Amino acid sequence: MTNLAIYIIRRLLWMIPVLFFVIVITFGLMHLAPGGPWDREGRQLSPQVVNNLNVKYGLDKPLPQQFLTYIWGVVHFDFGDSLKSPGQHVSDRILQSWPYTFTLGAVAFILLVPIGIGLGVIAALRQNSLLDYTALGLATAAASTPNFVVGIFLIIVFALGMNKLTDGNFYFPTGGMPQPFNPFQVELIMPVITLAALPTAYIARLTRSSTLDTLRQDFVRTAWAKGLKSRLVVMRHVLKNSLIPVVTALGPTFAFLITGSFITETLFSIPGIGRAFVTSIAGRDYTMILGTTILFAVLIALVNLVVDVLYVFIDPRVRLTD
Amino acid sequence: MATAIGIAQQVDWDVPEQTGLWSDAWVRFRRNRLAVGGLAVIIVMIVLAIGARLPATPGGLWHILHITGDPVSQDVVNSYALPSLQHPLGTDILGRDQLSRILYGASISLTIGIVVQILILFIGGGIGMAAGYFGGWVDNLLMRFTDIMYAFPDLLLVLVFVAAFGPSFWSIFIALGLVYWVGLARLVRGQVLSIKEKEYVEAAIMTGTAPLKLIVKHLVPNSLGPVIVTLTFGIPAAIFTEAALSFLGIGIRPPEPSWGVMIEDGYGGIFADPRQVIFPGIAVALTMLSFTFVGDGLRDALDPRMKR
Repeated sequence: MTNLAIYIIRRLLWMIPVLFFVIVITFGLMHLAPGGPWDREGRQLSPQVVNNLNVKYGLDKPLPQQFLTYIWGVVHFDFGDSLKSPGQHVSDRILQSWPYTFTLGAVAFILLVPIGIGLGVIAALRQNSLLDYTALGLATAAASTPNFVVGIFLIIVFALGMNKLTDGNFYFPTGGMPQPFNPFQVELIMPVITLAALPTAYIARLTRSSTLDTLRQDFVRTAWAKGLKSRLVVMRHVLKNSLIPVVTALGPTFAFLITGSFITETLFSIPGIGRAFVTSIAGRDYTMILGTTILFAVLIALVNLVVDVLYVFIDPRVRLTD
Repeated sequence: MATAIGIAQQVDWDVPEQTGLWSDAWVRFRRNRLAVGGLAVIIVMIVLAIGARLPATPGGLWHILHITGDPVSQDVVNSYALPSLQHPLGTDILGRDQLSRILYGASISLTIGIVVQILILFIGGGIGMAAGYFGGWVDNLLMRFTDIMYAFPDLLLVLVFVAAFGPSFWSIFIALGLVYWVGLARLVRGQVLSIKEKEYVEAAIMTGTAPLKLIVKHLVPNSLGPVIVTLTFGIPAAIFTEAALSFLGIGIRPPEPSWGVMIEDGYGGIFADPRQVIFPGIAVALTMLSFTFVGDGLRDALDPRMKR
């Protein structure tokens, strides 16, 4: 147990230099980008105003000094003010958007796990049957259709098409999130499908190939040969082993659902973090860009750590190294 | 000494067997109907994409395809025209011919998808090869660097890069190369580490093969299979990212008709005419699907476990 504790502490400490360089890279690229946060379409701000704004937000200082000031803030969990929403802290803006992104990702994840694993297992147990080919075909199609195309086709069929068919009596709404926001509202149906299609296909394909591998193992043949009931063979011998790589893939999948929702959020006008990030990139809202990047990097690192630790409990053959 | 010579001869014998590996792989690849179909679609698309870039000489490929308009010239009176002989896929909001725009978009998507892989091969392959070959502190340094790159979500980093370089074809190209090399670097490093342990490499080192010759003759050819498969799967990923960036309004700018730009344009007018998104959407999905099938076929054909 102490071994595990030391391992976790070492991994957490290793996150510090990684995050530092993540900030260095993002900070450098951001300031390399042409334009700045005070550019406006049409009428420009007067040089005097721009100068005052720069002084207010410390953008008049030399870059190394700005960088150190920022790092000093981050160490104290102060991520600065958003440049585009005056008077709002970056952390407040992220906290406002977080529920949308998290709910979307969590609902997608809860639906994705049983569907993806179920499809994969059934396809593997009935290898080369019509069911297998259908599941595999669906998974391949979903894995290679861009999610914005999936989303737009959903809109065309379930919003435009159904609206026309039922004379506007029944159709799925295409966007916006009413307040108060809850995970069971109809507005989430199409965004969840759009976001989850690709990872579901990925999990299904992974489960299928891993289950097929396990089915060919000697111990499974032995289990059949000693006359075990098929359900026992599948549950106790096959799935227990074939799901190990799937469980480890679920971590990055969850991280992907949270950090990869830019397009879904843009498509369905959901005011989540992905959308906020895209807007910040376009508007050169330096502090927002950095804040979101740090959040995502921490999230990915934590998820990977959790997966690696879980791995030890799931698969007794694994020993922690490094 | 005698054994060393014996092994050295075995190394020479590997050469004809290697051509055997590739022709075997081709035989296995041809048996996979989906992969062959995908390859056929890709070849047709490449020919059409080249045709779309050729000048519109009478009787040329351009005219044979019934494309009378070019991808950017507008004919506002004819906006949202239905498919006709003159405009096989109709026109968009500004009366531009949809088919020629999709074919022109194909040339952008295919160029980005395929050519970026060369950049990835050089960056990822080089870093992975150096880490695996030299080992020690070089390996440590390079792998810690890939860890840092791995901490970014892909699309987020691409977005930041494209913002930094300014939106253009070239900045997308470089951004994709600078982001997507990480997976290949890890793969090549692993390959090199395992090949370095093989007897024929030990034999080659023992017989005094120069390092460069060792890399070119043994390490590169023997890690080629998985690398080719990874790069093939990288093509649809790059095509997707370009389209996604353009869709988010951060990639290639109009009037150049990339598929992402067309989808974004069409999405704005989706209530007026859904066809504007359906056709480019199908084009992206079909291209990505074809490359995925080819990648699946190559993986099965080049998998050493299937050989025995």
